[in-house]
Order: sequence, then structure tokens, then C-alpha cells
Amino acid sequence: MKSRVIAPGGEAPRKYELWRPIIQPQRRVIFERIHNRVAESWSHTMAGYLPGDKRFEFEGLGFEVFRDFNAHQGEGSQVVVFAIEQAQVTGFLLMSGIVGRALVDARLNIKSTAAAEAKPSFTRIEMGVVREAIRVMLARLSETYVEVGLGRLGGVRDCERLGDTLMFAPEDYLAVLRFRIGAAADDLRVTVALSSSAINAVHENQHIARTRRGSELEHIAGQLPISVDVVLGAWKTSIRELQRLRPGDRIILPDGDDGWLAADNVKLRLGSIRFDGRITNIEMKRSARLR
Amino acid sequence: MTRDNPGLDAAVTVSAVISRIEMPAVALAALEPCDILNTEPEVGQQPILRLTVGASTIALASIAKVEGKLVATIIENRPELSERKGDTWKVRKPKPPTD
Repeated sequence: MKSRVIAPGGEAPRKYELWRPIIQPQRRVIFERIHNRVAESWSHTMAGYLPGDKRFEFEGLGFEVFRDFNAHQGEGSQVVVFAIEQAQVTGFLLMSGIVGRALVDARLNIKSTAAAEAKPSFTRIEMGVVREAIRVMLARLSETYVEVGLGRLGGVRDCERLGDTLMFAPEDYLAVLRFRIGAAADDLRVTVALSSSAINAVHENQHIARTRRGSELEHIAGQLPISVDVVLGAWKTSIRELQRLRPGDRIILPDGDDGWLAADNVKLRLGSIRFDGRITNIEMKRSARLR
Repeated sequence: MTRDNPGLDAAVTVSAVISRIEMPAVALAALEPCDILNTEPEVGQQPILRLTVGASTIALASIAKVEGKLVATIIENRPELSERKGDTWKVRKPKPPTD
């Protein structure tokens, strides 16, 4: 007769799964920092796609078996697979349908309906906007991975279903990086998953910390206010002429077609200036940067 | 008899500044072609033009379209009154074309 001993009230012990990755805590912290940077970068770059003043937040790192992950792919979600050759890592970015819908609505200034949010579908143009958003996100992800030494994303391709990627076996462990837009209750989530070897491709050095400090400094510097003049035009005259100016005198001005933005008399951008009541509009021109 | 001061004939560059705003460096750097920057005076019904030389405002003027031309009328040429509050601003991104 065979017998098993089970602790009272406990679950049957499971065999240790030898293929589970061993993660050093320090590497885990570095990996999480990298993806906090990714969230910051997305928030900055994707401002035109994000509803209101919402930002990307990195929720955390977890490990899941591909089989389980694959089973929960929602309807309307978008999958893009990629490889990081340098680190010999494969991965994918998964955007849920409601995230795609939210990005499209914000980008195209569409007032969404509850029905559209519940079952997102996209027109051809809207799908173009979703793909462009994903392209921008992958570009920022790639930039960050290059900066931290993981390598550049390559071999990018769209895939309708996760199961069709043929890049992962059902039992593969994935490092799963979850991001959300806005509050957790909004349920707007984007997931990046990498083969779990990615975490061991991260080296324990000071590079991340140094870069992060630089990034914080960059962020602070970016918020410094700059006094910007919207200039219709400029002309040369003498001080004598200026001294003669009196209230009521009239000057014919440039029409604003060739206006510019300037800071401290340094031209920054060319633009076309128009007036609409008390509002002044300057449309940026497709011109080379001036400095 | 008054003596003429030749220094008064020195040439300076006058700029017609229709709006002055303060914006974060990052927002300025993010401006792209076709973006539209809207500015609006915090007070008053119309934008007020500043005539500036270097960093100094030498006069304020109202603007109006007269016979298709944009005309500034000087309303103040005393520098001590030239310190106006900055305008408010926002950026509109162009909408992608739709079907």
C-alpha cells in the first residue's frame, strides 16, 4: 500500500522546477529601474496619445509561463514581437484593445462611447494610429535598452495572436513587465515580456544609477521656464527714429507669414502667425532647426 | 543752440513681439512642424504688440488690419509702463487625416 504525508491543511508539495530562473535581487532592482525609465520615456514621448494628463506607470516585474500568458490575450489586443540579438533575448509588447482605443481617442480627439470601450474595434486609419503609437513605444524601449547595454530591438513584426509567434514554447518562463496608463482602476495596461534570460543579461554596475541621475537632472532642466517671444518680424532703424515715436504713431508690420519664436533674441523656430480675436496662433513651419 | 548727437544715428534692430510667454524648455523642444502654439493675453481683449530692442521694450502698440495690412498704433512709449504680464499658452497637435 502506498501512502503520502501531507501537512494538515496544506497543499501537496510541488516538485521544484529546475528550469525556473534564479534571479539575484540586485539584478531585479536594476531591471525594475530600467523599466521605470521606459515608463518615463513613454510618458514624455507619447504625450499626444495619452488621455488628459495621464502618464505611463511601471507596475512591476513578474514571471509567468508563456502558456498561461497566452491563454489570457484579450480581444482587440495588439502584439508585436521582437528580438534583442545582443542579449539573445526574444520578447513581445502586448497592448490591450482598450488601451489602443484610449490612445486613438486621445490622438484623434474622439469622444468614446461605452460600447466602443467595451468591445474595441478600429477603422483602417485608427489602426494606423495604433501601429504608429506602438512603433514610437518600441523605439523608446529600444533606445533605453541600448543605453543600458542590453542592445537594440530588431526583427520586429506584428502578430495577431500570441500563439502564432512561434518564438516561445508553452513552458517558457517570461520576465513580464507590466505598465499602466493612469490609475490602476482604469485598467489601461501595456505589457512587455522578455525571455527570462534577459534579466541575467543586465550587469550589476553603476551605469543605470548614473544614467538615472542624469535623466532626473534632464527632467528638472526640462521644466525650467524659458521666456519665449512670438515675433512678427524685425527691422533696422536709428535710435533717433525710435526717440520720435509718440502715442498714435502708426507702423506697418510684417504680415506674420515669416514669424518666429525667439528666446533672448535667438531664433528657435520659424512659424506662420495668425490672429483670431484675442488669441494668437503660430503654426510651426517644416523648417530646419535654426540653431 | 542744441548740438546734434551723432550717436542717435546708430542703427538698432527693432523686433515686433506679438506675444511673450514662459514655457518649460521641454515643451519648447517638443514643438514639431505643423504644431500650433496658441497664446492669449491674460488681460485685455486684444494682443498687445511690444516693440523691443535687445532685451528692452521701447513701446507698446495695439494692432489692427487696415486695408489688408497689419498696422501697429503706438499706445505707450514709456518704458516704465512696458512691464506687462506674460501671456498664457497651449500647444495643439495637428490631427492625422481621416478617411
